[in-house]
Amino acid sequence: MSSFSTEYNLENNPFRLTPSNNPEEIIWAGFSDIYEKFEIRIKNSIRISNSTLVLNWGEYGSGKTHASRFFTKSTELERIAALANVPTIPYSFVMPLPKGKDPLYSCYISIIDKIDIEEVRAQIALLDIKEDLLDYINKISTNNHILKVVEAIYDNEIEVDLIKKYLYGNLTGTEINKSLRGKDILRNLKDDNDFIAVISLLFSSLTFDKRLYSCIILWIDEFEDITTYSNINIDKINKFFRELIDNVSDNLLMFLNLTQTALVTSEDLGHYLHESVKTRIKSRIEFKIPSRDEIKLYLVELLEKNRIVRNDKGEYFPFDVEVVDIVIGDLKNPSLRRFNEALSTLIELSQMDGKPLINSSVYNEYKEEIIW
Amino acid sequence: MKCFLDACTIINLIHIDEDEFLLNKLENIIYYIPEEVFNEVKLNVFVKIDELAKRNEISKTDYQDYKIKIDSYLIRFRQRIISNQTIIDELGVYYYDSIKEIISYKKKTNGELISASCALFYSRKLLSKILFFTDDFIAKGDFKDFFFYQQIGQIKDSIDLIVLLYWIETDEDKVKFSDADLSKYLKNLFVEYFYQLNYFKTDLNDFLQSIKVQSKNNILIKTEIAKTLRCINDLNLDELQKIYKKIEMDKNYRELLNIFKKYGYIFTLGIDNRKVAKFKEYELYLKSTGIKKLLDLPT
Repeated sequence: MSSFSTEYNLENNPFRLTPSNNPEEIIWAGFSDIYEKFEIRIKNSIRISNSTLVLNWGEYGSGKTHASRFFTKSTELERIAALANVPTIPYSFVMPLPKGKDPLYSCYISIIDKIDIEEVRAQIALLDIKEDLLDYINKISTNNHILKVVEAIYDNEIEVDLIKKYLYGNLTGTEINKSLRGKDILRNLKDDNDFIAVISLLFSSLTFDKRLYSCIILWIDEFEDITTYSNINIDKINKFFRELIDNVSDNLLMFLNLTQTALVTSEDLGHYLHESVKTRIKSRIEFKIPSRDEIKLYLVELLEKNRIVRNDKGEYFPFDVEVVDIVIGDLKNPSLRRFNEALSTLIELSQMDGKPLINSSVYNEYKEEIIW
Repeated sequence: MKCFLDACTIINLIHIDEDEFLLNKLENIIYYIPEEVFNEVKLNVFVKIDELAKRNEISKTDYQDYKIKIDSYLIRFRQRIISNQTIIDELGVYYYDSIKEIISYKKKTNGELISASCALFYSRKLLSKILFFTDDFIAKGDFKDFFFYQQIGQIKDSIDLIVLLYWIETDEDKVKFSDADLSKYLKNLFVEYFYQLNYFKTDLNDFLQSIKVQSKNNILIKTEIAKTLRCINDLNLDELQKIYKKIEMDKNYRELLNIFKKYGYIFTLGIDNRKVAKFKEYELYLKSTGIKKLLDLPT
């Protein structure tokens, strides 16, 4: 029975309809200009102390979510940090724009979800920077309660489970009294101001002097969903961004992924971002509809990165070069995602029917499923 | 201004209204709610908050507050009911059936049909045009010709209703309908129409991720999901409807069909790019020209 590996010299179907959840499977193929833009942007944030907001915008299926997964892989961040000659890597958070009723709280919870407190504490111990870290947050914090909460995150005497429970708001008053009173934590976190303050101080402390992590990368995907926010929630999310950028004035890199939809274009963004946030957008990275050549280069590199053994059957194998041109033509100016969808269907159907080579007659057999 | 309000319009109004603002403005028009329509409202008005509660997006107290709000609105709307008995007394038990025959209406008697039938009667009785407000664009299609040829009046939607309530206020209104209010409520309506699309996308993506087995059937299912996601992004309702029809007829797409059914309101309400265009047109018009009230007219 044929399989991708035996028939096509490929690990598996390389055409994904949505980015993989497994970071190892996320690779970059083609589109070197976009690659460089991200590499430079992240390298600068690793090296320099400032806070930046970047807008990534483009059509549906142009690769923005994929970029957010790729450029937050630890291997990639390590590589870029090495390029920047900085020994510490960024700490990255990727999340979709929350869709629920309270977006600020949902952002807060998402960030807390993604903090590996054990890992952070271990790093601090390894680098022996605890004292300096505590000095730093004592210096910059203006709110004693928040200060104590963030200190507790780094405090080895407090169990990770306990502090996480506290941060989630799952400790009762009695439990707080019992286990955290000695650390000067006397009440639950209760409102948006508390949540923003904790995140801000946490981000600042994680990146102090770039000795623990070089910067925070906060990547917000699906930002176009803000069109379905009530006005109150639009205000809340703007407040969140503004205060983060103000309070974490060093070492914060925020990416917003915006897909042009029927409901919003990048011009409409003005309705949803307050002036104070808009003015902080330092640059925009556009994900354009790819040209024919860009798609073909992408295809060649993608196939190459999926090979099992050396390939000598032509760089497009198992496709012949003509069918690639025909499919791109029939798809009429496809987005990257559309192209992936078409080739995914084509390669899977071909593989199941044991076709050794995918040429135009094979394509015609399946054309109805592919072109719509 | 004499109006009939459809169930979906009433439900949208309840959801977007704040502090009974729009509800009070409704007093400036004469509106009727056939008993059957009111029953449809009661049946469906809690669906949204039940769904939010299921997704843990509202607290128990918020849920209770919403329920109290909805109940108080229903009490007010109850005062405008035209009972079934009233119609039977005036027009006999076969009135709706005869209207169905006139317009070749194939579906079973429902709120929209009753509203359209009552609108005809009231237009003759009161010698007046009737406005029928519905957000169900399929219903609009069903009755458009009837309203036109019989000269009953017009079929409008909630966007039109809010704009009407804006300019129809009188000097006696203590609380004025400001331009900011108009923008706010149009925005609230916009959000009300479109917010569920996000959940639709999420459910589709989750389903897509869950398909692991490689089979011809699964390839076809993945293709339909991909098409659907694209249509949602483009708000291409016509294509979405085509996909819906296709998967309705094929047993293999059952799981996908269930997701579609969950968001079925998208099809009946005509949530598509034409609706978006209407919102944007109004936004531009309000900015450039504005809707004139009596007080605004130049002297």
